[in-house]
Amino acid sequence: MMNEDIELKDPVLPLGRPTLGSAGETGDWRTYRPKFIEENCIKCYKCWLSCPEGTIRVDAHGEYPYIDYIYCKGCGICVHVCPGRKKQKALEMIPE
Amino acid sequence: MNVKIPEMMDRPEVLLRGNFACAGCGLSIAYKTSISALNRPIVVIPACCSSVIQSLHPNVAYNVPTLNIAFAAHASAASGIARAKKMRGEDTTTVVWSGDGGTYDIGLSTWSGAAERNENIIHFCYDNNFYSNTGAQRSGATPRGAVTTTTPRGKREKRKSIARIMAAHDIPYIATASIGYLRDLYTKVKKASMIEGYRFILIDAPCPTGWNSDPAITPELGELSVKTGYFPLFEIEEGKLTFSKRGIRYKDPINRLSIEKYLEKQGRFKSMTSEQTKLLTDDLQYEWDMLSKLE
Amino acid sequence: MCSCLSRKEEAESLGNDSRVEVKEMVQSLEKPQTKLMTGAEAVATAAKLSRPQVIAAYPITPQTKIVETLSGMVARGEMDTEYINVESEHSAMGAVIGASLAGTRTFTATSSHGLLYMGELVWWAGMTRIPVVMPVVNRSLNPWNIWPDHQDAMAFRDAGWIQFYAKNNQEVLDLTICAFKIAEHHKIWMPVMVCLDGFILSHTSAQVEIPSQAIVDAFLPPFEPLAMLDPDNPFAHGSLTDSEGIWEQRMSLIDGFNNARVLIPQILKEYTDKIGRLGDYLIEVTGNIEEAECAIMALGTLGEEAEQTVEFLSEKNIKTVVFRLRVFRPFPRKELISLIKRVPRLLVIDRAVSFGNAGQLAIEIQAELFAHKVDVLFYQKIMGLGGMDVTYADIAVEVENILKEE
Repeated sequence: MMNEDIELKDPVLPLGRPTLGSAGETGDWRTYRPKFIEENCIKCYKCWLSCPEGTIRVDAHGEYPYIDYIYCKGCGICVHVCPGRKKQKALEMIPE
Repeated sequence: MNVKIPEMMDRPEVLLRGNFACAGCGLSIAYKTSISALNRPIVVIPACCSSVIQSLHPNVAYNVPTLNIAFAAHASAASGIARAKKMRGEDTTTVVWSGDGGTYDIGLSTWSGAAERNENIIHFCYDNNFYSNTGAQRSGATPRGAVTTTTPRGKREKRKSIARIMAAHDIPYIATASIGYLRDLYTKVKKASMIEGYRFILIDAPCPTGWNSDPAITPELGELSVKTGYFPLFEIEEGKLTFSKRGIRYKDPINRLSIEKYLEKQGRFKSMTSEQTKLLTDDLQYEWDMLSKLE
Repeated sequence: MCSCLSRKEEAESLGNDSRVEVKEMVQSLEKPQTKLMTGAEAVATAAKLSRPQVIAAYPITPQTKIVETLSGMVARGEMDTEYINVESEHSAMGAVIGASLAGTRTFTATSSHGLLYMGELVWWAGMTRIPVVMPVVNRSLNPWNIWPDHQDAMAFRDAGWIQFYAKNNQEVLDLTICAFKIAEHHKIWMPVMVCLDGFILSHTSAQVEIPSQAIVDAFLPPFEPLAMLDPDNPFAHGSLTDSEGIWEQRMSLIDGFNNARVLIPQILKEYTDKIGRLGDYLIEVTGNIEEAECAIMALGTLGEEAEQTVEFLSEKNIKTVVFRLRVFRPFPRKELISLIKRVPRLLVIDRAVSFGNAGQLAIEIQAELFAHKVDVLFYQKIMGLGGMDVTYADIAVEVENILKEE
């Protein structure tokens, strides 16, 4: 009585997988970029802590931070929170 | 007990870069800090900005198991997860990650039920004072005087005290935190994770897009909300409230910065009249007075 | 079985009466039994035998006896189940969605306004493929009325749920057990509603044969998740999806229902072979189809009532046959058409209305008749709304009117 030859398809479940750059290369959004000035960095990592995007990268504690420009949206938080050395910030915003 | 940054650096990356969040997003900062502090979290997200910033299916920015669910179903779905994982004998931390719309307004009954049952859930409310993902409409968390797209002349009613409503449920742990004080937030999340039952953490999370503020000052606004007395920092354990070390000095109005310092940096308060500012200041003092009674 | 021991120990400390009760219970696990029970108790018994790991429910008349019975079973340690006393039906479905995705077999039950209040998440479960089993005790909608009709479940015929309509308490029990196997089949993987008429079944006692726990265990293996919320293998379930993604998921749901059309009879057959009851048909035929002047089609207890009509009318020398749809979603088109082709007249009785058009069953059958160019005289009747009593004699009058009209 039943169609034995019908192909029974597997269900497509609504599952998304963790992906870097899920919204594309969001560095394209930027009009200004943060520039890192190593000599002013005291490695307090406040920029790392407050970066909403996770684009301030630190490979290991004790090393200098660097910026992933592929995804950095250029919000400027890192520059704003940077205490710098002797009031000279280790980050500044420059036009793209 | 204050956490050091190196410890936080050792934690897994929970929010992957290159997502849909606006530049300078306050909730992203709150999410990264909070969720990374937890042991094997499973996160339930109702309709809110967090359902948007994760980007488009099948790619997702969250690096932890996440259940997206309807607006008013966060705590119920989390109840189901917590019970199921208990039944399966798996060691996980069940989390509700909701905005103020889902916590103060439409989802109030679902969390109230879960809190009354004392389900083993940590409920985070990142509070940006309005419905952000639909484009800045008023919520129960919007303060008096703030302009939103549905209160073009400023909200006429005071902001709801969600912490006191939550406190009336006598749950084991309640805390408030701000993205201006991330180590304080992280420490509170760690503390909450050591406790069983329904735990609630309210996080002040500025939204530059909706507040019409400079994205670069998002953390500064988090600090100013504490320093002006707009957002008191405290914990409530076993019915007893303790103001946090970071914010206790602002209990005394003399120590607070002028509220204008907070308001003037945000477009949403640009059209505040002096009368509205006075009413808002009175609201804030009233909240401090009511909270102090729980000390 | 282990839950029994604790109950046994508890009983031993209580004295002789309880000991007898325990003995009965242990027997019930070992061999089939026949008991007088209400439809609500049949649902609860079926649920217990199916070993759901998480139940979340909110009481509503006439479903209350189901949740009361189950919470009693859990409290007495007869079931190894987390029971969540949620604060609303919306939360009941929210909790079972969460629990199902966390890797457990789940169960809830509701009725009428409860189903409507749950509505947003009924769709959520349907569209995102949550294999929960939910009996719906059919009850009329507002203004307040607690009596049976199918308006509640019919409001969710499009929500991506398999829908069964049971005719008696025995079928309630059998279909509820089968519902778990159907929902959890990896080629189906979708929620199942087992509909039973309020009061007529839920509160009326009838003899029900209960299969042994061992035989149910052999039929229904433990829950095996297709995807589970797991920190070691993270995914986001139901995240923001574009048009292509939604299209793909909807097409897959259509495929899922096509799979269900094939697999449901196979699963019903397996149950029938193991238990010796139920049958693998999607449409029950009562009466002599070859001689019938008119076929009567209905759902649930109206279908069973119509079976009495066949007998009643045969005494007046009027030949009728009943096609009772046991499953409404997926709609058993092919089986229906092959039956309808063999009769000259068809009367479709609906216990619900799609206001502005007609009864849902009638509308859908008319569409099939047109598509397959079936030459049959078609009649429709709406009966029993708000619990209006419908007897075999009432149905007979409708048939007689049809025959007289011509």
